[in-house]
Amino acid sequence: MKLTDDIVTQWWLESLEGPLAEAQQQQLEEYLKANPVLAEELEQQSALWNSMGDIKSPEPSSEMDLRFEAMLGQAVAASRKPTFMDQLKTWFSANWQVSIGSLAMGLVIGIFFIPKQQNDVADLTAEVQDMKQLLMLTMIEKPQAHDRIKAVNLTKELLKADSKVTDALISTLNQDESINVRLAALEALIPYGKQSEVRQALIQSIKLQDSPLVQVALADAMIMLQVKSSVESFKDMLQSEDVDESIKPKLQSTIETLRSI
Amino acid sequence: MLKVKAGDVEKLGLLYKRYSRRLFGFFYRMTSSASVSEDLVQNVFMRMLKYKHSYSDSGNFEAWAFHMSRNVHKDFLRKNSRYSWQEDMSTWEEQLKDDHNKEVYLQQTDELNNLSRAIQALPEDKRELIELTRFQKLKYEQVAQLLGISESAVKVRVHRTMKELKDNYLKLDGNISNKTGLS
Repeated sequence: MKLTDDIVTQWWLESLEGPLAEAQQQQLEEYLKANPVLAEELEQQSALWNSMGDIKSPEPSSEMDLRFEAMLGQAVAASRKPTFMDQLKTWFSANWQVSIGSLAMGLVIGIFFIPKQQNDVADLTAEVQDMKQLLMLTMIEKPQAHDRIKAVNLTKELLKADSKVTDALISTLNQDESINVRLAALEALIPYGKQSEVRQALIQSIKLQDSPLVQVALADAMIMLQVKSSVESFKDMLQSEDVDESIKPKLQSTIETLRSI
Repeated sequence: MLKVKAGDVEKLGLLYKRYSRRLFGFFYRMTSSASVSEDLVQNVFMRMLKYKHSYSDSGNFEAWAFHMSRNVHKDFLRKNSRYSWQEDMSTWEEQLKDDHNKEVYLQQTDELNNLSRAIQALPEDKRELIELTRFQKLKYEQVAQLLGISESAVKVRVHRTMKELKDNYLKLDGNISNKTGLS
């Protein structure tokens, strides 16, 4: 290969990067010996190139390292705490088949979910009923008469009262010291008058009442519920001296009405 | 960097230890400002995190880092329209921002200061070429890839730049042979 200034210059540049092959270096030196102008130029450039190595390297302040560490710390924390949505996105993008499967499953579950929702509503209603019942049973024990009346009125909101409620109402009707509470209890018991236990309890209650107001209310209730078997109880009351005379005509008419049913 | 790419972000700390000083040198010689250079180094590493997915498995980190650094520097120049290099060699010391590096430079010999001034007087693209090939010791092949030109073209440009650098230096010094010890 015939050497030229350009080729030799290229070789010289390559020599700056690293040593040339021995033969190539020898050829380069021989060419430069024969071409002193190029040799001088390249030598001057070599000197400059080498001198550049002596130029001091600038140093950053320690603040640069601190800022980097702070930035890296944040990045590490962020990489360790992917948001739920990020995780979800990553997972779904990697598992698109599962996404389709999930959609199908969602549809199937949805079909079964609707009746379940209805069941949930029913459960919730039942829970509210239980709470009301509990509240009623608690309030009916309260010393204040108006609390007990509230308790009795709560039974009207119960869709279906169990024996605990009717027992409490009967007990109130028979034992409560307040006439108003007894009257309220009687009123609350009328809707359950079809229950034989309640009818029997009402009949027995006739003998226990000493208030003319409650006795008259019971007489009306018996007519309303058409409890013929209560006639004997009212007869006994008519005979009793403890019963207020003013209500005896009422009791008499009640007996007659019940007999005529 | 592959570990960083795979999510082991902490490994970037090792790369920082290995390359931050070199990148700082690159930016410092391109901007003559330590504070700007520190900001730009930070920017480079932030970009590395942001664009870690773009790092090729077969890639060379050094080349990637300088590719990113060049882009960061270009962005900086674009955003700072007031920032421009004056090719007035007499104001080189004034161009150096007031920080500890200025003192270091000024403590060098007159010859080296003149050489530094001669380098700073080069047009930006040529200064960058010297920075990459001489100070950063990148191979011509790597520089060729960075600049998007052939390896031969890089060599030709380096040779021309060295000629211009010599002329700049001679303007400052007058007699390069005596000052550099060349016969």
